[in-house]
Order: sequence, then structure tokens, then C-alpha cells
Amino acid sequence: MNVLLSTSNSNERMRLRDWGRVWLIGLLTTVIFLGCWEIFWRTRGFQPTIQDDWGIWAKVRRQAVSQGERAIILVGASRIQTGLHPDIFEEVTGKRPLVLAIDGSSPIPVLENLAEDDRIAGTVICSLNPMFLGEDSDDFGRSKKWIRRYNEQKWSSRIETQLSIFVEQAFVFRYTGLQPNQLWQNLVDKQWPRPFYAPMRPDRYRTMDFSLIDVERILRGRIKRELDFQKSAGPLSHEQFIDKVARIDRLIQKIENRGGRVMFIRFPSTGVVRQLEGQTWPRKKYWDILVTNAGAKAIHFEDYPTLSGFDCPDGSHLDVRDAEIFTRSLAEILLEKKWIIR
Amino acid sequence: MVFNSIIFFAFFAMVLFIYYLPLPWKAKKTHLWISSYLFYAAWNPPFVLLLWISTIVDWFVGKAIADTKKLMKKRSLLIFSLSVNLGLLAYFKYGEFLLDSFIVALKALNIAFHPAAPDVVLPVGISFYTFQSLSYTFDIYRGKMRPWKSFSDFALFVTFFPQLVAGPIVRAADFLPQLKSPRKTSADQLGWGFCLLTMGLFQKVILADSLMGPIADKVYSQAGVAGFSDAWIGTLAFSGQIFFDFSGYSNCAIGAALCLGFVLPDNFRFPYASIGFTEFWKRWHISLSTWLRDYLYISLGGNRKGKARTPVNIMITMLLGGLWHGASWRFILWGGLHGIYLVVERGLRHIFKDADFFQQTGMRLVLVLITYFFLCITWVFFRAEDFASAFALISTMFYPGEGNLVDQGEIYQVLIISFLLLWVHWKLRESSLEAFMGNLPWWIRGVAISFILILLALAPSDERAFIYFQF
Repeated sequence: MNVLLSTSNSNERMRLRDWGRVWLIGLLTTVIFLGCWEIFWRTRGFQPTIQDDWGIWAKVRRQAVSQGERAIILVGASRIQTGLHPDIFEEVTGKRPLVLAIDGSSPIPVLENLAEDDRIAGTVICSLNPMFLGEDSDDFGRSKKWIRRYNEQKWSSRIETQLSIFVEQAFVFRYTGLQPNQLWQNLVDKQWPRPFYAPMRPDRYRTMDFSLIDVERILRGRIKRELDFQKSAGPLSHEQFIDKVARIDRLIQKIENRGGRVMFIRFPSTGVVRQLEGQTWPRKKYWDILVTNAGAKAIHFEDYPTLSGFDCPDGSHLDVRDAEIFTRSLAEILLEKKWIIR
Repeated sequence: MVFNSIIFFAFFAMVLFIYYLPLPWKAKKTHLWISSYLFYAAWNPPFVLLLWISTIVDWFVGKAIADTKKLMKKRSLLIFSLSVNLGLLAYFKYGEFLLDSFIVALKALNIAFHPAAPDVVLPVGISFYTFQSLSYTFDIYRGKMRPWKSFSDFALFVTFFPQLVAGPIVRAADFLPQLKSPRKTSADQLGWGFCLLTMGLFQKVILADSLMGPIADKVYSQAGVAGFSDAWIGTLAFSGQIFFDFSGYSNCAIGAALCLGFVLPDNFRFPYASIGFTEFWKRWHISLSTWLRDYLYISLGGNRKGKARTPVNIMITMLLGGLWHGASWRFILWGGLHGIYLVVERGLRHIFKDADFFQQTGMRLVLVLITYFFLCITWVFFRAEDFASAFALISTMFYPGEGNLVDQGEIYQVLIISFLLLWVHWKLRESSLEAFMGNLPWWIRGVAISFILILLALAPSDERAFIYFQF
């Protein structure tokens, strides 16, 4: 046969030797270095954390389908992701919630996605933060992107997510704050890396421990972020807001028509953040209208002594210790109102 | 399933484990065949059907061409194969582009046409395996090879997973003979294979995705407000990113194949040290450029049809080569620019063919830099999100002005990496990676591998797909 060799094959010219020794020293050095690196950071208080991404969100989203009527689904942003402790909630209600909250993102696209899915018939607890009711706020964050990717997810990507969770749970050095570029930045800023104050668990709950960070710096950042949000998503006119509430009402009806429930929780905010929210989104102008017009089951933290009185160190989120107390109180209220049956 | 994912490593470990069990050669080949389909099905299982269509059509057409003596029948069979293969490619890859272009053309004639928006998903790697499968039929048609006797061997040639989705585009005559007898993999071959795989991942994960890609993305997503330094830094960053990304993929593919005992052709040979564009295409994406040369340029008559026809053939080849990269007029323009460069260079070479000063080292270095400069201009059209952004960036690149998209640190980062990239290509342009590695003491190779593995273990798990997957 006439064999046509169109291009040269440099692999065939390979005359390298000693690969056994090369790989032995290579692997040995790698294992020793990574082992020491892992121990070094663990002795300094670092713990493994899962990196939140659409793959893990999609995994929880599938559980919302498979659990059917039994599912308790948490929707919202970081306030509910850090403020509602699944272990405590389960202890009180006997039901383990599924965290579908996406930090920094509007809950409305997720609520819409759940409403459009006929297989969702559980209880949806939605944390509604005023800033996500503004103009174009549906586009804030990653909700829409993650929902789209969830719908397109392939089997190989599910396996990849499982493997990533396994690796990230096992090794501290996979934490983004210890990656070379971040360490370089720390070096430039002359700041020693500190343990992550809001690590995420595989069930997507984040424990926020403010004792690990410079709260003042975080608070300044939070206020700036709040102001930026308000600039980019200005409040709606009364008519626009009524339209938005009507849209939310339709979503609620869809879920409730198939036996599900939807309830809204206003999580605590304090200090300057609360003041800013009050200026742009006074309670009477949005929350009360939402409760009245949409006929939604709703709990505002200010209406319940056991849910108020907490101090959010960054103005916006509960510390993990307060989150445990808050969750217990909230779960008891939900049971008392029979919105959740044990 | 991309090489830079954990699932690929689990998959590859499993493939290697089964492959090195004491099984008959036929069973090992069947194992590779099934694994390759599994690898492809990881993206979209129904698209495996497309692989089957290409495989079955070219298998039977190849046989039929060899069995007939009538030229007309041979030609009809070739046209049939081309129609099926390129038809699928046209539908899946170019359908939307053709429809959009048709609508624009009608609009120019004041005819309003509003068809339903097509919703076609591009099968990953379709351009690569279509060309690979077609080369078999072409070679049989030209009498350069006989039809292969084993269908399963041929199916493995079309689907071999290391190079299935982004090349190198392997010729049947290079690959099929390797399936005749059991591949014997030496420890050194295995070691070098893993080394190539590791280096490829380093190029992709660290250099392309962590260091160059984000800066290119930043500039190209805000092309309208980019200043002089932004435009140049963004373009240099993309120039580095696309090389590291694609050459990284090729190294992974060649390395993975070598671990299984198979030899794939080189796809890159230090292309940024090219003197002129003729040389560039001998060093960049070699498996595509040789394919276009052998099956398109030569079919058009190459340089055998006179001085006037040669530039036309070059332009047709490069325009279609540009279109191969993507269904967009930007890629066609990119190919067109390369075609113009090649034609102009051909003329200049004719004029200066006896000039000695072009052989001086300093002058050659200047020519390398000039070539690189013109290359960077073409990359703008390759990377920009639309023509408006591309032209905005090009004009900014020639009019110095303020820019504030990239910071000082990013400027140094891109300049240092670009300088090192060009320097390494220049130093190794007459050599090879193997020769370079061969000159290093074994312990330095070990430490280098360890350094790369540590960086990969610590690097962000940003699962960016390889750029060439979309082609």
C-alpha cells in the first residue's frame, strides 16, 4: 500500500530517556509540596470550602424536582443562603430545605423557572430583598445564566460537579483565596491571607463568621455596593411596581395551583444599609403592596420580636451564630402559622 | 468532556487501565472505539449519529471508488461524499450564517424577508472530523491509498478521542497503518506522552486561561472605549491566548495518543518566529494548512496554472480556510487578509530572492517581528465580537491616545509573557520541543513537571472550553 505521510511526526524522533526517574521525582515533589501546603494552611485555621457554581446549583435544582411535594425550596440571594441554617430548620420542622438562592442575584428568574416547571410542587420560601425589585433587576447576578445552563446540562457535567465537590471538600488548597494569583495580590498588598469567612457546604449553605474578618472594611464595601445597586436599578413607579407584583402573583398562582406553596421572607438588615433601603424602598411602597396585591404569605422580620433585634455586622447578613437563632425562630413561626406542617 | 476537567482524568485513567490489560489487539481497538463514542457523547449523545453518517458514507464511497474504473463514476461518488459531509457541515455550522447573509442581501434589494429564527446547535468538532473523514475518500479517489479492509479500524480512525474534537486532523494513511498490529508503548513513550499532556494543560489552564485570556476578554468586550495601549495589550494577550490554547490542546491530544501508543502529527512548530506568512502556515495549525494545500489549493490547480491564476487560488483557499474557522464574515476577512499577505509576500520574494541581507540574523529577526505585527492585526478580526469593534480597535492601534482598561500590572504581565513567547519561538525555530527537552538533565525535567503539576493543582477551576471547539 502506498502510505502517504503528510506531516512529520516529531514524536517518532523522540530520543528522550529516563522518564521513570523524571516522573518519580516530579510526582514525589508534587505530593510532598501539596501535602505540606495543605497542612500549613489547615494549621492556620483554613477549612475546605466548595466553590459555588451553576453545576452545584443544578444538582440542588434536580433535588427540588425529585422531592416533589416534600421539597422546601429556598430562593433568594445571599441573605437567605447565609441566614437560614438548614440543619436547625430540619431540627425544628423535620424537613431539610434545598438552597437554590444565588448570591448577588435576583430571585425572580428562579421563581419564574420553578413556576414554569410542572414537576415543582413543594414549598418555596423566597427571600425578597428590595434592591431586586428595581428596574432591570431580573438581570442582576447569575440567575438567568445558571437557569439556562441547568436546562442544557449534560450527564458528563453532572459527574464533573460531583468530582469537583469531592476535591474541594478534601483540600484546603483548592480554596480560591489560596490560588497563586490571589496570594500574589496578598503579597503586593502586604496582607496575610485570612480564613474565608463565608465557606460554602455541599448543600450550598454558607456559614458567615464575621469574627474572622475586618468588619469595618466589609461594611464599607457593602454600603458602596448598596449605593451602586440603587444607581443601576432605580425604584419603579407605582404603576410599574404594580405590574411587577402582578407578575409575581401569577408565578405564585402557578405553583399553588399544583399544590405547592410560596411564601416571602424579609430577612434582617441593620444600620446604614437598612437606612438606605428605607430611603429608596420604604416598606409601605413595596412590601405592604406585595403582601396585599399578590396575596402572598409573607413575613417581615420587623413584625416579629423573635426575628428582629439582630445586628448584621455588615448591615446585610446575619452572623452564623445569629443565623442559628433566627432560623429556629422563623421555623417555629412557620409551623405555628401552619405554612409548613411537621 | 474537555481535557482540563476532572472527569477527563477519571475517564482517561479508566481507558488506560483497560487498554493495558492483557487483551487481544482487536478487543483493545474495540475498547478505544467505544471510549471514543463515550467521549463524544459527553457533549451531546444524539450527535454521535453525525459521526456514524460520516463514517459509513466515506467507508462505502471509498470502497466504491476503488472498485470502479470509470472516471465519471469515481467523480460522482466523490461528489456524493462531499455533498453529504459538507452538507451536514453547511447545515449545522453555516445554516444561520447563510440565512442571515441572504436576508441582508435581500434587504439591500429592498426586499423584506423574515424567516423563523433557526435553532441549530453546533456539534462540537464537526469541522475537524468532517475534514478527516473526507481526506480518506480524496486519497482513494486520487489513487494514493487503497480502501482499508477493516470497518472498525476505519471507524476508530474517524472517532479516535484524543484528536476527535479539535485535531490535529489526521490522515488515514498516517493513522490506519498504526492499527494493523498491537501498539507497543515503551516506558519512555508513556513518560513523554504524559509530559506532553501536562505541558498542554499548563499552556491552556495557566498561560491561556489565567494569564492572557482575562485581559483579552476585558479589552475586546469594551472595544469601543479602548485606548492605544489597551488595544495593543488586548491584542497581544489574545495572540498569546490563542496560541497557548490551541497548541495546548494539540499537545494534550498528541500526548494522550502517545500514552496509548499512537503517533499523531505535529500541529505547531513555534509559529510566532515565522518569517513571512508562507512560513507561518507551515508552522501554525499544520494539519489544517496541509489539508487545505493538498485537497483544495492543489485541486484548484495550485501554482501550475500560470502566474495570474496562482494568486486567485491562494485567495480562494485562504477565504475558505477563514470560513472553516467560523460562520462569520469576520473569519472570511481574517482568511482574506492572510491570503493578501501570502500573495504580496510571493511577489516580494520574487523581487528580493537574491538579496543576501535577508539572511543576516538581525534582518531575519526584524522580519519575524514584522510578520508578528501583521499577524496581530489579523487576530483583531478573529477575536472581535463584530466588525464595528474590530475596526474601532484597529483604528485605536494606529492613533496613540489615553487608555484605562488595563492597569500597569496587566501591561507588564502581557508584555513579559509575549516577549518570552517570541523569544522561545525564535530560539527554537530550527529545533523541536523534543530536542529542547532532550538537552535538559533528567532532574530538571522532573522539577519542571512538578512545578507545572503544583500550579495546575492550585489553579482556578474555571472550566473554559478550548477556543477551537467552536470551529
